[in-house]
Amino acid sequence: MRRLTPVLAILCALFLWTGVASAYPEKPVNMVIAFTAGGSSDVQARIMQKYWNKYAPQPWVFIYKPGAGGIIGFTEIANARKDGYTIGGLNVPHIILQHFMQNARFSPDSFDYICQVVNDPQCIAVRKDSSFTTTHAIADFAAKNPGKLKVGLVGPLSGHHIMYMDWQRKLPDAKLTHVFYKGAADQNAALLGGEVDLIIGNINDVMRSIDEFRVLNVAAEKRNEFLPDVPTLREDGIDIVSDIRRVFAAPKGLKPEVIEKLRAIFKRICEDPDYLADMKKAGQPSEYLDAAALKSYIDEQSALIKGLLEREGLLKKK
Amino acid sequence: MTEFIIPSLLNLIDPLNIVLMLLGLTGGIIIGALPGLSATMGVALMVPATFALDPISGLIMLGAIYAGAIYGGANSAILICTPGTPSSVATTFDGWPLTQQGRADVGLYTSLLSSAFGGIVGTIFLLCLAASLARFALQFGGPENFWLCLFGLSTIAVMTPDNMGKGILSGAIGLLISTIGLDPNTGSARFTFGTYALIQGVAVIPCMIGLFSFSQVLYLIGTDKTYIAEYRPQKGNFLNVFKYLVSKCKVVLLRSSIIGTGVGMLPGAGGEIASIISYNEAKRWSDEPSRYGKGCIEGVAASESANNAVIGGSLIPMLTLGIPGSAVAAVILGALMAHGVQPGFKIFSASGELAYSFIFSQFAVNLLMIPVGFVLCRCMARLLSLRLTLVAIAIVVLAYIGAYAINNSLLDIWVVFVFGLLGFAAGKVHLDTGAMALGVILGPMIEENLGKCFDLSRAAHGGLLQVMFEGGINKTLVVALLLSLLTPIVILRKNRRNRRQKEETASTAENAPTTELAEHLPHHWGADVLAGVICLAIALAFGLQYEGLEGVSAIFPEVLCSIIAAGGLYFVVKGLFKRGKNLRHEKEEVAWKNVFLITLAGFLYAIGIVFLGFYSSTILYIVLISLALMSSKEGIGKTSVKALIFAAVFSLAIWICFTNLLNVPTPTGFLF
Repeated sequence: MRRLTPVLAILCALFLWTGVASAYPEKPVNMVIAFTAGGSSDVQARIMQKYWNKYAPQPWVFIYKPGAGGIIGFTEIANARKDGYTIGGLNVPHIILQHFMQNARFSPDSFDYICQVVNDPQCIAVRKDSSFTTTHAIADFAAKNPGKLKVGLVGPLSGHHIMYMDWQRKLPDAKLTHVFYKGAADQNAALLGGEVDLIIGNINDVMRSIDEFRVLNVAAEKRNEFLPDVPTLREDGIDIVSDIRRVFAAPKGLKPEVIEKLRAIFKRICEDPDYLADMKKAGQPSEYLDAAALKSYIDEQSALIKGLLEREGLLKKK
Repeated sequence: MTEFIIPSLLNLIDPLNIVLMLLGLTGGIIIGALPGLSATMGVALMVPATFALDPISGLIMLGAIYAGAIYGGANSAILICTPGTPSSVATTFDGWPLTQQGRADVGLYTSLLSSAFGGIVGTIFLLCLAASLARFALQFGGPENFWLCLFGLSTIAVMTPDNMGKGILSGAIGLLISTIGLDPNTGSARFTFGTYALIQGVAVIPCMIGLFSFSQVLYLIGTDKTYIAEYRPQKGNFLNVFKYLVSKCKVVLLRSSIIGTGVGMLPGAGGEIASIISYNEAKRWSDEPSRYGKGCIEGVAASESANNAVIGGSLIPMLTLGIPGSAVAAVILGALMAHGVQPGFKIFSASGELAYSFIFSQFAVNLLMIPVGFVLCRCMARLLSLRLTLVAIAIVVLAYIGAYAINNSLLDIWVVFVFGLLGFAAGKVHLDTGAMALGVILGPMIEENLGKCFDLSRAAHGGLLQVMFEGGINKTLVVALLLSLLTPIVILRKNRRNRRQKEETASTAENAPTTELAEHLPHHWGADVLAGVICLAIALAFGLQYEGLEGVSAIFPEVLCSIIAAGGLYFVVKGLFKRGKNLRHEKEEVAWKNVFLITLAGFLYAIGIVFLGFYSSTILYIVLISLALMSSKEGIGKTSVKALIFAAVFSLAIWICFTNLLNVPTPTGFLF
């Protein structure tokens, strides 16, 4: 055994040396997308790919692993080899909710985060011919007629659901009846058809039928470039900020130089003006956040969401 | 609108666009015909390619792929009883019997002409009535869609009037299977049988590949024939079919196309429901319903014209409101938005040239489909002149890789295998795989919309009942559903009357292409007992996993489990009771040895894909199964050489098609 030690040491040194000397990436990088090809996440990643090819010597190989609202693909990323050659897109708050509520075999701590690329805020929308012109008017009406107004959400256990829980906590008198829809298309149709009176929808989705909708407020810290005339909820005195974020991540435990390299490349992409222009054209509200800021945001959201789920009695003790 | 017509028509005679239409159609038909590659996938795969084109050409090509794929699904439905896309389930009901009678060409031509007709009708509605129809489609909310799905489900009763008990049970089993995975109303995982991967649920397409393709392989191998079916094409059949459709099927075609357009407009329902409802209606209103299911041209025409009419329908809300009427329309919407085109009623003015070019191109595509489809379907009919074992082996390989390709999920390969066995067993004990598939397709929609009804009822005075029965559409659908449930009685009566008439006029010749009205023989008592046992086993397997479910997500599976258990018990008792009496019953010879061999090989193959990788295990599988199934006349040496050549050629073909052309990754293991 003793005789082996120097051999091992040499091997280790050699390994480290090659690791340092050969610049990552030296082979194509697998990009796991947890949703179907052609979906919103895919479109965003495809735009990134264009600029990744500009800044990195190796291409991406797209691997689609859709299913169970992203759980299947996210698990794939969490369990991938920690060599930096498999990375993927994650959505927040999806990964937090799936960890708490859906027996997912990963937690927000299973990943090494690269950065955030999209912040798609929720907004409150009604039909163009609706009598409501402000969110306050809705809250007042709901307080006088509890449960009469129907709000359409994509869900359950989604960003919309979280925002709705937050609404219930902060505006306890304004009681709405919530109806869950499978996706944004169904939800938009329900609002247009009058099945629900308002929806909580994302910018990216309400823009599809924007001719027919009136967006009352955006649940963001600042106004959105896609709807510059729409005030934030905070501007109107309702303290709700809620959104869906797209981030990129690798399985936890990458070598520091590899993850830092990834972070550096992504940062350069996100600062490229052509990239930002392409994102805007595709209706993707981009917002860059570096890994540290993103991690603290996710931790903060985890605590908030845990509190909301406990309050609703949804979080079962394990 | 008028100012856009001429530039739009000029766009259509642009050689590039004509080439794109032809390529799109050809590619679409092939993708559609291959079980596992669906229309959605075909269109989604080509979206990135459109970014290199201008938006109009890109959209024209996507539209051509869409039309081609929906039609293409009929070819495999007719030739090997495997719907190429979920929209063609109903095509198998009459298309496959036609093939078995050696009249595959009649079925293929019928599907081609009906598809083109349906596509054109759908496009006419899109062109003329888009705005008003889109508004109407929005009236369909949760309750309306719930009743519509139930109406679709009531097809089971019409499909199997003399075997209704087992039909209903099969449908219930399908519905129960669809509850596996994350439940749509609370988001919690259920019925995962302790397998993490099952959290994604049983996907519809792999399940159907199993129920139809894989089980069909077992069935065909079990028949111990040399070829799938005799194929006796007759010259002039294309014209005969055309004449028959024009003279006898006007009403069926028109009705089915209108149903297709209507269902296509609804955001929740697509081609799979439209074709089934149209088939159902064609049979219901027919004077001789007993001809259906035995190779009736009207049946194929109804199903195929409806699913192509869905295309025009699904584009109506997509273009005018930004709400896709089908999964494919959703992908096209994504492509449209990526090109910076904003959907909305304004699209006909703001992007008028694009909108009208696209709509007119759909007319052109449907007309071009006739010659393109004619050539392709004659090529595909060659399949019938290949040796059965060869076809069977190839179907298994395609079924596995096709199922895998949808979600890149190894689980889906096991879904194919398990549902293949279930489908085969079900067929042997006269449970109905068509009804089962219907349940799997409609289950999620029924449960989701039922959940919406419960949600909505909290805001209504009259509670759930008010929500479910409010408004004209709901009442109409409920009445239609009730009438539909009474139909089996009408059909049985019509059958009896026709049989009497037939006996009276036995001597007069019939010129319509009908088949003999087979006298219905009671099933073997063992089949009943086995069917009952299967039902009880399934009810038990699900029943043990109720823990922790609540609300709609518990009620729905509980009701289904109870129905299945009760039905299972009934058939066990009925079977045992029948045993006492000595009844005449149907007999079927099955080459059990071959069935066992191909099942075992399929099992080992699925394991091999996980550990060895796709191509290496495919070659191994083909060689081994060829040796196992070889005829005694040829020696081992000769067979293995042949098998190796076949394996190599086939793997190469898959490698070119899947890995290179379609960019679909194949599973890798230790090897390749």
